[in-house]
Amino acid sequence: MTVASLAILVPLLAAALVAGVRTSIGRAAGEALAVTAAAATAALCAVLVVRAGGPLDVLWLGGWAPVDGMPVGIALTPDVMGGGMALFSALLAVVALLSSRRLTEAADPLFHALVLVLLAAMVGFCLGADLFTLFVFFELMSVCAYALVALRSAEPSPLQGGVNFAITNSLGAILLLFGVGLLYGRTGALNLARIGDVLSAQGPPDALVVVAFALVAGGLLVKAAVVPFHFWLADAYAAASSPVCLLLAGAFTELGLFGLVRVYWNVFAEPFAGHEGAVRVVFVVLGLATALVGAMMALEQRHLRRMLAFVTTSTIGISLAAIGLLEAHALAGAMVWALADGCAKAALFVGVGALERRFGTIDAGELHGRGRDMPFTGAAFAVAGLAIAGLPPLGPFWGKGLVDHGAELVPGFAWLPWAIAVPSLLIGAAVLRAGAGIFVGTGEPPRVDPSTREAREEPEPPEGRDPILTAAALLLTLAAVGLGAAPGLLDATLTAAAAALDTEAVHAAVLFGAQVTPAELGAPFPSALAWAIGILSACAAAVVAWIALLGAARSNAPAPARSAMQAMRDLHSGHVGDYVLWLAAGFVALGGALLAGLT
Amino acid sequence: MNGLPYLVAAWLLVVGVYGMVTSRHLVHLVVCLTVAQSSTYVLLLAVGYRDGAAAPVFKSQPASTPVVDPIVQTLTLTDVVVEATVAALLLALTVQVKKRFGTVDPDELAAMRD
Amino acid sequence: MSRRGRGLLFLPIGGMALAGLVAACTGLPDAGSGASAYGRFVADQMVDRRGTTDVVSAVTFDLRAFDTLGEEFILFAAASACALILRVQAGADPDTRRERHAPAIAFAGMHALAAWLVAPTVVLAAYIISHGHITPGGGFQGGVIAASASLLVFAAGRGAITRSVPALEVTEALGAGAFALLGVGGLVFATAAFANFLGPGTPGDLLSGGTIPLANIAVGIEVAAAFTLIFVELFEQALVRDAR
Repeated sequence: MTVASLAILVPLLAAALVAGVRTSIGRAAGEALAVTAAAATAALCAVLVVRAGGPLDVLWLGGWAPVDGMPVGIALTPDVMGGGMALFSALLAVVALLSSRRLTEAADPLFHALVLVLLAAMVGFCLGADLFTLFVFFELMSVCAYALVALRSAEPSPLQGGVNFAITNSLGAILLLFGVGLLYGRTGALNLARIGDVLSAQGPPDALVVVAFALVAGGLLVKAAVVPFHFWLADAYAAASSPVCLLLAGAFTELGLFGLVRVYWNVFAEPFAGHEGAVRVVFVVLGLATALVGAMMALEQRHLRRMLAFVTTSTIGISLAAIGLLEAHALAGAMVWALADGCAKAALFVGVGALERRFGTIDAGELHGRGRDMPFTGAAFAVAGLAIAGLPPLGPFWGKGLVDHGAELVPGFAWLPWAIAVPSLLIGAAVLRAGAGIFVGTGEPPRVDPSTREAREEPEPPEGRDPILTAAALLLTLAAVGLGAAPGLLDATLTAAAAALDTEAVHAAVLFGAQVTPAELGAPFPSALAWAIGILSACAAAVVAWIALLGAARSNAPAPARSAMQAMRDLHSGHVGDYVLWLAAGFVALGGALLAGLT
Repeated sequence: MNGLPYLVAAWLLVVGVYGMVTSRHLVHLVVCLTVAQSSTYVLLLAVGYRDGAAAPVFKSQPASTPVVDPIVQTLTLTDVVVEATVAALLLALTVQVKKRFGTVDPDELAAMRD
Repeated sequence: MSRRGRGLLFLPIGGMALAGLVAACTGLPDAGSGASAYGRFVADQMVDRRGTTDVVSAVTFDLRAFDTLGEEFILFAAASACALILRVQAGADPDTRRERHAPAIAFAGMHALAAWLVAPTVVLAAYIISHGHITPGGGFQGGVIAASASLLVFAAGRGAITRSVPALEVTEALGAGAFALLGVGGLVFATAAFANFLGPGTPGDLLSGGTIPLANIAVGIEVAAAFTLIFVELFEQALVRDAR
């Protein structure tokens, strides 16, 4: 399978080339080279996805096939889920590279090289089937992200965001590696399938297995910005430029959850068999807490990129709650939701970037009413907001429908669709409120948020409108809307999810070369309840946005609610020591909950 | 001796994180991060250690000599390089923070934000 | 939250974390009980299969070359970004007049000693890089030694080393690209990426191990350039100070 290896090597070679010749060739040539490489990677990933429909094709790098049933080399498993995620990341990278010239000031060509390396890391992470390889590409992604966020560091505000981001994520990676070390010590293997096999042969999970799972899952969840590891996200997004944010929100954070899915189902699903209830509770609770915290903070924000950062946190929480059901329909629904929602968020970031370029500011208070002559960008905002809220038949609704079906199949979680609807309507409301305030001018202008003051210390000189950016925002919104309608996408996603969940089949393919064709599944049409919830949440989102715009909510809110919100705002203090403390507390809580539930 | 390296690894991790939480200087914080990282080195090397075994180099010893686990040595090597470069990046950011804000105390930096 | 408050809050958290980690570690085999089957496979078979006597090199550059690829590019990305961050900052404020000072070390004997040590250091680095597949050492170790030669140059009073930055960046990219090309070479000349497509040779010879010495050289170049770049950019910070 040369395609899989090339999908990783091509962007790396291109990155080395772009970085090496960047002083000799012009910026335009470097950008063209980078875009070509990213597009080529996307094409290779598309080939992978198309070819991955049949039995799982395992690629042993270096030609090292398993010796006497023991894997000795590094395996790549380009299945549909991994290939699809890699394809999505590649497409986002193309968008980020193309829009970089318009959305950031003259960036060093190193920017393009770093985006290519980030892309290669994401593809490698998606395709890898070896625990240490996952760690290395996880770190590669992180380092590129730290660099990309910090690269605009001639200005003051990106620095702190970059520092907080780098320190918290590095600590997460250290804890992840500690877990990897524990697993290697117990099983003597680094191949995911092999670790899973050895663990399940050793009987019920003991403290080591559970703590290792807590460390590995926690490290991945730090990247995914799940509560209480999420504090870095808003700071980093506020600091980064729009193309970087787009890539981070659409692919980077989602890959944390993707890693969790890969590791859980390949390694821990069999040893934890019989204890799924406890695992479900832990992840659903974490997911819902993340979703609610993100939603409430999003409603509070005036800094547009911070608002979108909290929207991202909330959507990650919703995805985690869906994945936590440990069921194929819910997993497929989470994947479709992540794709469609990723497009919607990308559209919003492009829109925010267009506003910043035009007016030199991203504060909703200063922008109030000034976007009246940008109807198309405003339309993109509105549609994206409704899509995030779950309005049928826009893209994310189809994902929700699958998740709802999955929730019905799992005993005791039938209430989950309603629970998920609350944060999604709140974040939809936040987007709608921002959009209506800026592009229509309804309601009173919100008071200026002090945290945006930093960003304005050296205001960007406003430039004119850019029809290309508007077109990009519209295209992405259309993608978000139309994703569910793509023929066969839902069925293919469900088949892919079921294949990923089928631990036995994956182990047989990786360890023994068995050729097992996954069963084709047909995705059920969303139930009437799902339609009802979707329409209700979209309407509720509009209502909440209206109330927020009128400013009535703030002054009439009861005092305990106001002080609770203030306390939550204070927690997001920007102090790295606080963030590390909550990170440590989160790991201990996660470990404790899992130990209680599993041993 | 049996469990001591593991105890050391766990202790290094916790102490490193404690240092990060209570740090008053960004450079100190980065060094505490390094201390936490070194816990993974100790863990990995301890996992691969074999009493009375030699280093996995067969230039001057026969190929059948018992040796320690070479895999963890590779893992540790990769780990060291990765963490050293991340620390370098963080220190570069710290230099910038000092020049821009005039302070590297996280308390003062957080206060400046508001 | 105050520093004291954070510290107090961390004490129970840290205690529980320590307890959890120790509990986990009790599940590990005793320290000293030895290599896993994976490790034993490598120790027993690598010498014959790949002709290298330094088995760790064989693992790093052949068996698990893909991980090393990721690691190479982490170094590449971080070093380039470091350099850019420090450089952007140095040129950021056009108003302040910046003076370039000579390195502060003024002891002539130190200059001479450092200058004399540069060449042996570089030779040592070259030896370690090229013999990585035979004796302990390799690209990473030798590359760092080569980078330390730049520290010696600085100690010898030659601040002009900071002018070498563009060359260093190109060299770094070259090294990283060369390693990736070796991977492609595996695709082109053999079955899979990073396959060792040259013959193993006799263990103990300089020309043995197939592509492993080549990988060592590529990595050595890249590591030397990357770390030298980081050191040089940091020297620049020390040399260029605001004029009073």
